[in-house]
Amino acid sequence: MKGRRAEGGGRSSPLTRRRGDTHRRTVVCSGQAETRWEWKIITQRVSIFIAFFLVCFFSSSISSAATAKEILEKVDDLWRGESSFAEMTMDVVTENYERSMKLKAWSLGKEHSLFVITYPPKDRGVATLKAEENIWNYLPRVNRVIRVPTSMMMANWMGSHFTNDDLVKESRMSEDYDAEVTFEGEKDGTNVYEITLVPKPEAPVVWGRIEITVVQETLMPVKSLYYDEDGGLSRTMIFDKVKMLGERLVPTVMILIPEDKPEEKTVITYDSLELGLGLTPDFFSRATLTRKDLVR
Amino acid sequence: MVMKLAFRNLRRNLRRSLLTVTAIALGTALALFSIGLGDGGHRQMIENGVRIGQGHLTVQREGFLESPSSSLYIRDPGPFLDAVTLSPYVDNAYPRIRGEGILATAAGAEGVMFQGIDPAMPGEATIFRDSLTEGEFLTDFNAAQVVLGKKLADRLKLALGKKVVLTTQDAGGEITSTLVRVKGIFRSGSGTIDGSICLMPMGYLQKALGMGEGVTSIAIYLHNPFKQEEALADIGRQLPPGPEHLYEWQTLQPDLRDYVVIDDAFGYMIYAIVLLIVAIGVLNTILMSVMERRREIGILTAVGMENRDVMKMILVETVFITFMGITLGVIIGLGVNWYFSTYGLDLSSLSSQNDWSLAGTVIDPVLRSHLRPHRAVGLCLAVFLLTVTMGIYPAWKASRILPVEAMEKP
Amino acid sequence: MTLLKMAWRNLWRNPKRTLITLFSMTFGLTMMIVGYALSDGMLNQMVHYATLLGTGHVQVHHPDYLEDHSIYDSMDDPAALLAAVTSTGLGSASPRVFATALVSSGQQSAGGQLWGIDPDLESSVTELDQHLETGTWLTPGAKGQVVLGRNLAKTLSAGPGDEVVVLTQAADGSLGNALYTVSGTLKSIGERLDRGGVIMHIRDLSELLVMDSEIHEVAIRLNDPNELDWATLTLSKALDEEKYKVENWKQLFPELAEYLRLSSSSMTIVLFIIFAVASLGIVNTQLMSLFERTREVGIMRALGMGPLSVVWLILLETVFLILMAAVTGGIAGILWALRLEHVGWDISWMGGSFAFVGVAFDPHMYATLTSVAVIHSIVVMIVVVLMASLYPFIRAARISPVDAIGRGR
Repeated sequence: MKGRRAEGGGRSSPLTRRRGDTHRRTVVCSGQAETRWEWKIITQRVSIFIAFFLVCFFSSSISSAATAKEILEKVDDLWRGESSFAEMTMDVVTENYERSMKLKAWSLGKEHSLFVITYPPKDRGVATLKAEENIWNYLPRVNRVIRVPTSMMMANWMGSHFTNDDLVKESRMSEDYDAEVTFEGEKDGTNVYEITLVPKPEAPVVWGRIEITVVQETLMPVKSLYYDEDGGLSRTMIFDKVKMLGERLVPTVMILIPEDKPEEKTVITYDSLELGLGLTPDFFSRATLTRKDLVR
Repeated sequence: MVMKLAFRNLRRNLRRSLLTVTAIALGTALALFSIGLGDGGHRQMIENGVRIGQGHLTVQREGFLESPSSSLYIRDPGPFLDAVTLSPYVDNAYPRIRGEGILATAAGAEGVMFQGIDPAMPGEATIFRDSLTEGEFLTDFNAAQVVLGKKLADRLKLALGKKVVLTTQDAGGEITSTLVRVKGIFRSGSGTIDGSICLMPMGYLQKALGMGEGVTSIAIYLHNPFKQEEALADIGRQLPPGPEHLYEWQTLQPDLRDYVVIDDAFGYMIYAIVLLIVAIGVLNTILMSVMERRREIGILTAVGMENRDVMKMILVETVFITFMGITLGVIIGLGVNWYFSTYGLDLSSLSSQNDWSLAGTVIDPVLRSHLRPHRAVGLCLAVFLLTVTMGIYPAWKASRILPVEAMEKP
Repeated sequence: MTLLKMAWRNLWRNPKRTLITLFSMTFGLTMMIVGYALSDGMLNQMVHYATLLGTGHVQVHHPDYLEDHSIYDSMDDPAALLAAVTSTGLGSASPRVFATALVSSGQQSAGGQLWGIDPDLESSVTELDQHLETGTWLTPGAKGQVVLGRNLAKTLSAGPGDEVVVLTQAADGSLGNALYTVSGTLKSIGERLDRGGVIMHIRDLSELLVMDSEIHEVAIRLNDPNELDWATLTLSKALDEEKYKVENWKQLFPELAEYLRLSSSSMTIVLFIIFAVASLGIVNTQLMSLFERTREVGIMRALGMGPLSVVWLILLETVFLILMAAVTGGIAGILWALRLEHVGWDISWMGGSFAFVGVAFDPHMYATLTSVAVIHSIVVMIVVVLMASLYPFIRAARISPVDAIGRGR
């Protein structure tokens, strides 16, 4: 968070209220607290890997929640302590290569995550640790842990369409965007909310806005659209195949498509998901990164 | 008596005297011109390069040269700036923040060299100011602005007012991102510069990188680049102790250095060659004149003039002629140098191709001669000594002429 | 015929005068040739540094490669490509593979540019192997060696024998990583190589990048660097234009080309000055020698020679002188210039800029002798001598015998 000093005060508040759109917000929920809740839901949904689990988690618990306020509190609690473990497959198609990998992923909140490649054999054991704003890679072949430097932040992560920076930035979404519901109603036979995230004026993000579509009933994400500053679509993320996983209903497939190369995509498929493992922050250390038993 | 004879001789054979004086004068003038032009070109070569770079001398932390990381910054540049500006050799000193980072937009990301400057300082970043093609230059010390090259802007699909994210390492070594908006776009004509350099206000970068009042380097521009060694010693003495180090541009810009080294060496050689040709030319002239006067000298010895006096007479003639020649030469030479230092010589007009894309911004195609007094004085002394030395042989030869031998030949 | 004989005999009637004039012309011509060769040599030396410490004279790339240096914009079948290049007989060629990477050693890491080269072929194109500061160059056939740029080696605190980890994006999307041993470090060559250069075996790099045999660049050293434009054209004709883009260093580095063009222009001026100074010496001697002969001319006229014959006589004498000077001066100039071309002129005694540590610069100035230099110099000498003789000729023709003999006294 050191890097944020530049933006100065006022940034610590995760939410900037917008006037004139209250009626829209109250559709989802009412009052300020609800607004916060709504906001967090959204940002978590656009987050790429880890927050995704949380979205799924409280999406499924929403039905049992009595009031929005209670949900919010619950979410906040989960937010702080939630840890997860998942096995996933990542398929990458680019004009130059196609690549399929199997990964194991651990996470704690949005701040900590750890990925290990288990397949293909060539890359088995290559691991990535994200702790706060830093990313480390462990390379078993040379037995070294290397911190990803600035120059590689915009490089892609494991050959996918996500950059290292995406991994870092997702944990900061709450600080960087203002959200509002811009559409609610039926689209393609489903009642959805469309929520638009607009970066705060000084937020260091490249997008002009992000539009997220969620199913009204389940609050399950459908897709996120990333626009550049001129309003041109830059990339699309699609959430698909909603299934029961880890005793919860979650979209098990995420597809990322860069708009300038529509024939390319990265597809992440969740094979398994476990929640509430009770992982602590010290699990997400460089020592764990080099543990040989991670891949087993 | 000898003096009188010598002057009378010179006057009696005015045409020959004038010819010799002219030879020495033109030789001296051309030599002065070549030195002036050579030094001017040399200076310009350095100036052209240093203008894009970090000054003739640069104060920065040790290790910054090898890896320009923001954590290697000068915490309190004040005393350094004070020490530097006190030096009589220094024309200007600019505090700057330099670093490597990545500029990203929705369209992509590009590695850049960013440079934080104080836009209020006159003379700072003139290359970029002069080549600005769109928008304005940085306006505010603390604003979130960026001025970047056309090529970079095109690659990132940036236009005026658009936002771009700079990702780099802050002073604490952590990766940080910060948002700036495009204030202006420059096109220097150099692909490397236009595709890799961006400028931001210093105050903004100080805050974004957590440097407080610190900077990474102080670029020092000298009044006279030829006084670099003196300036280095002078400023070096006055700098406060610490991990900061004073670097010369040769260390910071190895590419430029190699060319300048060759240019320098070539300059010396030209100097030597021109001097040699002038000296030999004068020797020939004097030899010739002595030879043609055998008869005359023979008569002089016949009427009782001593060998020593003949030699003295010829030497006096030589010294006088040389002196006249050099004086005239200096006048002509200074005039020519003055003309070319004032009006310059547009080299681009000499070239058959007229596509000097960099002319005027990165490279100044107008060559201005620059004559340093000590080199002019040195040259005159060298010509004088060489010529007089060359005059000794003919004088000695003349003194050996026997009256009979001289009279025999027609 | 008699006039010819007379002229020749006349020349040697006063051998000292003739010798002095001859010496003056010879010396002037020698200096012109040497000056010419040196200024050509200086430009060549600059081009040499610009090209043979990295880029080569001409480079062949995939048409899109230089746009964003994507490792995928590569060229297949390097063997055939290299054969096509070398079969033109224009020069030698070296294949290269590039990638950007993170290089780390111990706790230090830095961004680097990987240069995959074939040590055998590379030494026929560039002279990087002769500019090591420490250690040794890549051993042909060995595996896992790297040579680091000067500043990079400092940043990583790595020297010969140390291990470095290289991390890069491989062509199949995986994270290419491998351990290499530093075999040597380079002297300061240029900013790019100094700060990030990691030179390694082309096979090692292809393996790291999971590439087959594709390459990114063919660097070519021309046998005759002065035929740059023609060679570039010939090469691009020899290769499929759809698949390959051929560019010479002037097109690749326009700044540098412009810089050198500037130097070349100022060199022209310097050369002009050298010629002027040399001519001055010749003119002066020639003028004096002709003026001093007023008496002699008067006697010839008195003996019944027509004014035209006198002019012819003097002209013939001058032509003899020119011919002799062209031979002696030409030979002396060529010999001196050739010596400077091969042995060079040691300039290390000058100190100053040459004292910098780690400089790749060889402290010798080398001349480059071309036939153009010799011909230009001789032509200039002839024109100068004839021009200088013009006025004395006219005077000689007009002179009245009595006057001349009288004045001679």
